[in-house]
Amino acid sequence: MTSLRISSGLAIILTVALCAPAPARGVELHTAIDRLIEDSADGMFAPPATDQEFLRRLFLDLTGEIPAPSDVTEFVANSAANKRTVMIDRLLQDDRYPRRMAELFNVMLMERRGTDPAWKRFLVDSFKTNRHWDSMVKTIIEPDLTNENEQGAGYFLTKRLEKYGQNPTDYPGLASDIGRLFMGVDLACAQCHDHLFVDDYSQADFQGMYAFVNNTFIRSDTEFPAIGQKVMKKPLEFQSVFEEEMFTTGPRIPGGAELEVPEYDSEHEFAVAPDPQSKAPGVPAFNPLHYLATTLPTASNLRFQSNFVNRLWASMMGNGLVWPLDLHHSDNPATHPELLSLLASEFAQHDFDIKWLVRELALTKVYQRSSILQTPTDNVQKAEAEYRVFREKALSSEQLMWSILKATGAESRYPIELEDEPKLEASLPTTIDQVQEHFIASFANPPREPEDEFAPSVRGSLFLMNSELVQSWVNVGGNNATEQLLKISDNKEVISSLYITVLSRAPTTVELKQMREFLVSHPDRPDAIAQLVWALLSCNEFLINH
Amino acid sequence: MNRRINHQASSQKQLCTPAQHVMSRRRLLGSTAAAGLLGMGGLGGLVQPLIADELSQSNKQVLFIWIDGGMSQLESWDPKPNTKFGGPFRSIQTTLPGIRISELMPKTAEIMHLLALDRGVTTVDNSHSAGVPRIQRGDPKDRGVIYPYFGSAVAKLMGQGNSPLPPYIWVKPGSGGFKYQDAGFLGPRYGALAIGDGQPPPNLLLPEALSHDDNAARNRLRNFANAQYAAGRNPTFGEAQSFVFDSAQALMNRQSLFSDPDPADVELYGDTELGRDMLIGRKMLEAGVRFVKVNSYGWDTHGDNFNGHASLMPRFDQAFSAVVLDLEQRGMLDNTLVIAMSEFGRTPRINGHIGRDHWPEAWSIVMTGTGIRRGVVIGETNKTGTFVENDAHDIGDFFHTWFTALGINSLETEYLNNGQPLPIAHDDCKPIKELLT
Amino acid sequence: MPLTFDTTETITPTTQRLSARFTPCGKYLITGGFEGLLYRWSLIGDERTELSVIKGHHGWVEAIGFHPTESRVYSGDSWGGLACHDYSEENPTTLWSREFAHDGWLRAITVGADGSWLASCGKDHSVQCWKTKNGKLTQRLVGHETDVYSLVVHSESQSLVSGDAHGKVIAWNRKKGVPERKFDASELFLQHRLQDVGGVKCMAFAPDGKTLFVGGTRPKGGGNVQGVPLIIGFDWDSGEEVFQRELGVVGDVYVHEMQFHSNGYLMAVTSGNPGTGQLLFVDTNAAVKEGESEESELPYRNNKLSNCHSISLHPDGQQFAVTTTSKGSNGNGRRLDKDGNYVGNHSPIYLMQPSNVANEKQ
Repeated sequence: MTSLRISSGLAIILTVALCAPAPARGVELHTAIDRLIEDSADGMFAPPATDQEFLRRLFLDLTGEIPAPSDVTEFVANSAANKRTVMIDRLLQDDRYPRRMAELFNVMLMERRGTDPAWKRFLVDSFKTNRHWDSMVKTIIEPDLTNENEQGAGYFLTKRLEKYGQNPTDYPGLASDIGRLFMGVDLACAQCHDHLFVDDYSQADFQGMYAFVNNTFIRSDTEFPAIGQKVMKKPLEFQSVFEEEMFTTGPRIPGGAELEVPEYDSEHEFAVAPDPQSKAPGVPAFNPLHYLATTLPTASNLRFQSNFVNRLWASMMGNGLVWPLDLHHSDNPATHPELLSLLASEFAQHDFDIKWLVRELALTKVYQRSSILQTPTDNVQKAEAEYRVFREKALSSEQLMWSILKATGAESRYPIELEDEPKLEASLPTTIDQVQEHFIASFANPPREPEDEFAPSVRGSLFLMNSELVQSWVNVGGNNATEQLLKISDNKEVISSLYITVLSRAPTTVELKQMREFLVSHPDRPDAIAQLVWALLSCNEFLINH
Repeated sequence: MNRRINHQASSQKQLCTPAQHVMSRRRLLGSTAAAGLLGMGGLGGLVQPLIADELSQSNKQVLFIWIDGGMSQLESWDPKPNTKFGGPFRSIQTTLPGIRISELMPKTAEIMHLLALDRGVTTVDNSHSAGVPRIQRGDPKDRGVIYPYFGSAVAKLMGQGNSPLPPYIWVKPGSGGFKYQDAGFLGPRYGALAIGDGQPPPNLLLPEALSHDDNAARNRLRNFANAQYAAGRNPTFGEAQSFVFDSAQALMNRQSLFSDPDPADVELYGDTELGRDMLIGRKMLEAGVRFVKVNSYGWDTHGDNFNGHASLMPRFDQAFSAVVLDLEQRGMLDNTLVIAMSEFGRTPRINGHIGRDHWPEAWSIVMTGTGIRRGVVIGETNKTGTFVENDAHDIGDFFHTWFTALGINSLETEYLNNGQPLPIAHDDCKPIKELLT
Repeated sequence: MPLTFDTTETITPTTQRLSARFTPCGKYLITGGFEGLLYRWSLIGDERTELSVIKGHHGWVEAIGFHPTESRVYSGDSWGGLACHDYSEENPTTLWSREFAHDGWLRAITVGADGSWLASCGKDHSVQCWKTKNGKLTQRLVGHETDVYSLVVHSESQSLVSGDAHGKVIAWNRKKGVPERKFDASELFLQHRLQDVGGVKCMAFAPDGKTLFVGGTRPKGGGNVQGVPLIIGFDWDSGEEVFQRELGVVGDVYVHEMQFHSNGYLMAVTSGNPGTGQLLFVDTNAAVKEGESEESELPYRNNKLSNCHSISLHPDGQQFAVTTTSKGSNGNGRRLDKDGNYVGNHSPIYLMQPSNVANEKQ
């Protein structure tokens, strides 16, 4: 395998083109993945995860919440050999799959900047209809504004054009984010000069991206978030802070061809003229965003493919093949380069079908592996790096919310939309969106910080320990789990039911004993059960996705 | 096309504006296992882990008083009465012979013998938005990462010691909560827990219906469950998750930190927002918090500077002298590094709004406590207070000095940021010997 | 018919000055500056001459008062010193001085109508009365709890009134040496974080003595102080607030000085952000208009003057002098002139008079 480093921008494309292994005909992707992992591993593999651990993991990843007790018992009791595959297929069709994926992508793409109903609708609809990734990105850059389900897609751009604090409009930030989130390259440090540490990232790369966005603005004539473009009359001029030489560039994606900026006379500047009455800004004849929308999310853009598959891999397997997720470059190679290129090329060949890729990843042994090392002397970090044992993953604020509501049986208290006006004096939330705000305030990162790491916080702990909200869920009331458990008189049954409800498994003998002792010694039974619910809710096993 | 830029060649030219270099701490270089990124467990975060252990045993603490906006050195530490730019106020004697400070700080004049003052500070940035972070980060050389603020740095280098409380607490007016930004590339764990307006963090109080026994019992159950889970697993996530519960519990155990203050203390420190916050700061230090930052806002007196400082300074004077004396009397001053500073000083030139503008050219920083010589004044400005005579010190020199005072070798200790070694203070600066014991 | 004014001359001292005052004889203009100096300009004849400075003060010389008939100037400085000089001499002698008249900033001086006594006030919270003949302290009036900024004497009753940094105004019973009445001008004050912002910067009685006007700002915040200039009028007998007028926008900040012109209007000068300043003529007989915006008509407004800190009426009742600060007076960081020197600002002083007066003179 050779790699020719001709130019930084093109290096990765050529390197991969020469080494991408084509999967043997008839071998499905998930099998090829397992084979590549096994080939590069050096040590004992953990066994497959238990049914319970696998089910919980799968539910959290595909539906955004823990399984119900009945889901667990049925699955465990099921003796069919292909039950895991069947479950995967079932959950991919579940109503909660689009909700979960919309939440995941909202956090990935918006990084907690805010929320918008039309944007949410776009995301949910995209996953409901399994809109392919290239179509999603194209729509985000250039939505069809007549389509109600696409109208909100412009939020990705418009939110980043809003000013925050004392700062001017952050065009450089927007240019960087398009690079980071859709191509896995963070060009922010190449704005004023070639990147000081990453040879592959040049100032020309950044400026090329910048040329796509620096003439955009937020439209004031639409009810949903939408972008307008001013006429770009000439290429962008730029100069390094270190050197005198001036350069110019038209819009250009890294590794791609530069778009020439034509000169139009003022009569022909607009393809669609602005309408002073409706304040519609019109569409310029030279339309950089259109070019971006049609060239970035394509099979010929390897960065586009690698970025997505790496991010989805990270989301499901707990770490990217390239890390950080937005820093693909030749001095930061993937831990499993063949695997990455296989995923990328297969994804492209399947027309960027997200659901297909999710399915393939879920079908791998890698994904279905246990998170417990069988040999305690093994170096666990090395085992994780080689995917010989499954990594723990963080739970997002959304996953925590749905799971805690489900475990405590409080979900029914929060309709998605209220029929009546909410009481103004209510200090506790009354809608699911309001509950969501509490969880975001307690567990989410501040805006503009990606959430791709495990970062527990003291405020999250205080929220779980002392907040009125959580207490209202664990204490007896509203037909919640505690209330249900109270009806059971047999302690063993209580504990078993408790464990399967909260931790999605049966308790061990040791656990039965310990919990029973607590129940028996506690004078106030409703209280005791509430504390048991709380303790399991707040323990690592619940708060971590394993 | 590869274009290697010689970084050294740029030293004369101004690099990109700070706004362009503001980036998430997440822009890390090189590949690494996720566990390393978490910055957990002490190891892997410093080039020499053994030093980390030694430092974490240290009982030294820091009180960092941040006077936001730019205190006027001419109305405080370096008065030039009866000169063209000196303003209306007089100077007064202090307990150090020959050393006079502004008449607006009579109480501090009484404790001058406890302090170390450098009147020869010259720094680079004259704006708040860029200047404040630059100063608090020690204005290190640009290496493409966001350096941590001093508090986060100390939290990382020295850990939380014996105290179960978070290592970096920020007492300030306004909003409280968990402030990640100070931590830079070190990661959110080294951010500050902010106490805003003297209020405890949200959800600090145990629910009324729960007794302390109940709380202890439920946490025992939780710990039991955690022990069951841990078997055979990578401990990193579990430990981090448990750790934040322990920190939360530690805060809950110290409700007294947030209860109404003793009237005698209020009288001593002054019934002002700074008095309140300085007192909370002292309590945090008593509770063993490694690094306490206390903020005072409202010092940017571009207009009405003299009437402004006439009421600002006495209130600072009272709270500052109170806390230094208090620490001394409680036997804590020998182990606590105390620093009081702004992001710059104020212009000698008096503008039409009878105010002073920003002046990084010549200003003052004061310190005392562990490792610092007491009763010394170094650095000198000229007769009219416009510029520093002879050698001036930059903030990098102070970072070296303060790390040294805390027992950290500032010249050799480095962070290890995923394979990239990073000096803890500016390479071209060094400790100021005259300030150190 | 709208008021118009001509600038008859501009005096440009090379340093910053605080207040400029015409002597009662009209022959001199006296200004106080930094570095403890009191400056004199001769207005005799057409030549403008700067006479020798009066030394002996320390810090800022802001407070100035005159004997009504003799050529005596009483001046106070920011270190608390009080002195009396004969301003008509070529090298004025110090007739008497009290270096520690106040403990710290001596903010204002006012002289009784018969010239036998004067009052001073300052940062030490006190108001003090002195014999003008020899500077002997006759009274120390205690009642303010903060810095006392301004003084005024009722022309008829010779009641002494003082205003402080918190917006409290006290009318004194000098016989008993106690406060007689208080007026609440706390709208001129704001406690912002550690800072006391605002205060009663200036006061003036209506010519008929029936209304007491106080001036300052309605503060929005401290640090870089911002606020809307504000004048409040109290009925002297009842103490009720009978007048209020905002004079500008948030950046205009302080009414620094007020004085009634012989045309019946109240002259006021404001100074706020660097470069911002106004000279205003206010009709105090207009009905109470609370929170009136700058758009409503004033008899005269000139906002081209930069940072006006004082105004003083010439004894002829027509001319007046306005002290300003040079434009471009602010800026962060190092600003050097072409020779590499760090320079301060200066205070152009404008002598103005109504245009019809100028016409009459012709």
